[in-house]
Amino acid sequence: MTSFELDSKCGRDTAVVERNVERFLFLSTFLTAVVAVAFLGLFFKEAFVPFLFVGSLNALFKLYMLPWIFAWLAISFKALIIAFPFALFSALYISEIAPERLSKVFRFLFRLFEATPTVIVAGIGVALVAVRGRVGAGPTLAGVIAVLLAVSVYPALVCYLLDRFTVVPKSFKMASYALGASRWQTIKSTILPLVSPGAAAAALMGFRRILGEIIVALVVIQTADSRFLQEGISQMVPLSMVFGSESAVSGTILYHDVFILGFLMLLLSYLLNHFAQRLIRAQGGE
Amino acid sequence: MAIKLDVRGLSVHYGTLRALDHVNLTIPTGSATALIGPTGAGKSSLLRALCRMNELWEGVTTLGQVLLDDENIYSRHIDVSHIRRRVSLIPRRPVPFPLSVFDNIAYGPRIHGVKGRTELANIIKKSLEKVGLWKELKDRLEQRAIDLSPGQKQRLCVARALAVEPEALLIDDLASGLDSAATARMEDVLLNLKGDYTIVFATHTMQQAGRVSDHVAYLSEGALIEHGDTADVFSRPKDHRTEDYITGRFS
Repeated sequence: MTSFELDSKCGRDTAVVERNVERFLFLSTFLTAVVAVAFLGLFFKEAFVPFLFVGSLNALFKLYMLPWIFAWLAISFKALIIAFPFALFSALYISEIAPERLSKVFRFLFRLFEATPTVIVAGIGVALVAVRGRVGAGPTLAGVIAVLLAVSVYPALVCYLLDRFTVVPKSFKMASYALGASRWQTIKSTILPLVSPGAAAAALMGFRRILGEIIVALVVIQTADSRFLQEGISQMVPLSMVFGSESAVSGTILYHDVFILGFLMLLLSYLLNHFAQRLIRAQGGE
Repeated sequence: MAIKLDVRGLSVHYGTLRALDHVNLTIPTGSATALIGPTGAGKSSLLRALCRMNELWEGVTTLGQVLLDDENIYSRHIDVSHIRRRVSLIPRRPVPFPLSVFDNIAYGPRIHGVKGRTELANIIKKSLEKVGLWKELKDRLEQRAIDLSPGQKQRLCVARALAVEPEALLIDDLASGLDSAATARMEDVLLNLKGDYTIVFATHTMQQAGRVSDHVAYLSEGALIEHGDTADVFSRPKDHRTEDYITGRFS
C-alpha cells in the first residue's frame, strides 16, 4: 500500500469518526429540546386544559394563588432591594479595588457560596423563627424571609455583577487614567455608566433566582407559630397548607392550581431572563 | 536646551520578567523623540513608566527615577493623577469612549472640574483644530466616536489628551493599524504639535522616525543601546546593533 493510499484511508476513517461525533451531538441537543418542550407541555396541560372545558379560572385559584403570587412578588422584591446594593458594592470592590490576589480569593468564595443549597437557608430560617417563637419579639416573619432570601441570593448577585464588570474593556479604564482621572473618577465616569445596563440585567437575574427560592418561604411559614402569620405574609399561608396537607392530589382543582402557579412562575422567569439578556446585549457584553 | 523628562537608572520588572534595564535618557522640552527597536524591546514599558501608567499592571516593580522638570515623579508625595495629566499617554490602539465626539473630548476637562458648556465647547474646538479634525467633525460633534474611521479615532484620542492641557504627549505606536494616508495626517499633526509639546513616540518605521523626530532612542531587550540626534543616529550610528536594526539586518 502506498503512502498516498494510507493517507487516504486514514482521512476516510477520520471523516467517519467526525460524522458520528456530529450525529451524537445532534441527538443530545435534540433530546434536550424534546424534554424541555415535553416539560412545558405537561405543565400547560395540567394547568390549563381542564379549564378550557370549565370556561373560566378556578375560584380557588383567585382565592389562594393570586394573593400568594402578589405576596411572593412583594417579598422577593424586598429581598432584592436588600441584597442588590451590598452585592454591587462587593462586586465593585472585588473587580476594581481589591488587590489581584484578594480579588481571586473573593471570587472563589462567592462562586462557592453561590452553590449553597436552598435547604440550608430554609434551615437557618426555621432556626430563626424558632428563636423568635421563644422570645416572642423581633422582626416580622415576612422580614425574616426577605432577609433570608437576600442572604441566599447575595453570592449569586455578586457573581452576576462580577461577570458584568469583567466585560468592561481595560482599555477604557486605561484611557481614563491616562487623562489624569483618579480611581474613583474612573469608576464614576467610566465603569459605572458602562456597567449599568449589565447591573440592571444582574438585578433581573437575581429577582428571577429569588422567585425560584420558593421552598425557603414555604418551609419557614409552615414552621412558624400562628401568632406571627399576620404581617404581610398571611396571603402565603394557604398555599403552604396545600403543600403541607397533601390536599392537592391528582385530578383535584387544587392540583391544577399548583400547575397554573408553576406555569405562571415559569413564564415570569422566562420574561425576566429575556429582558436580562437584552440588557446584557445593550452593555455589549455578549 | 531645557530638559522636560530625565530618566535615570530606570528598571521595570513584570514579576520576574525584566522589561527595562537601567535606562538613562534625557528628553528635551518641545522636542520629538522616537523610540525605536524590535517588538519586546521595552518601548511601551518606557512610555508607561514616564507617566506612571505601568503601576496599573499587577506585579510591576519600577526602580530608578524619572524627573519631570527636575521633580521625581516616583516620589512618595507626588499626586499620580496630576502627573498623568501633565504627561498624557495615548495607547497603541485608539480607544474612544462609547460616547459622542463632544463627550469624548470633554471627558478630561470635566474630571478636572470644567463644567460650563461654553468653556467645554471652546476647549473641544481648540483641541480638534490642533489635530486637524475640526473641519471634518464640527457638524458631527454628537456622533458616536466609535463610528469614526481608524485615522480619525487616533487623532480624536490625541485631541482628547490635548484637552487636559498636558506638557508632554506619549504616543505608543504612532501608525498602528492606520493606512498610509491616515499615517501621513497623523505625522503632520505631530509636526504641528512639536514645539508646543514635548513628544515621545514609539514606532517600528524608520522613515517615520526620520520624518517626525528630532531625537531617536534605540532600545533592545530592555536596554537603551543608543540615543542621539535623529540625523546623527541614522547617518553615523555608534553601535553596530543600532546600525543592524536601522539597515534592516536585524528586526
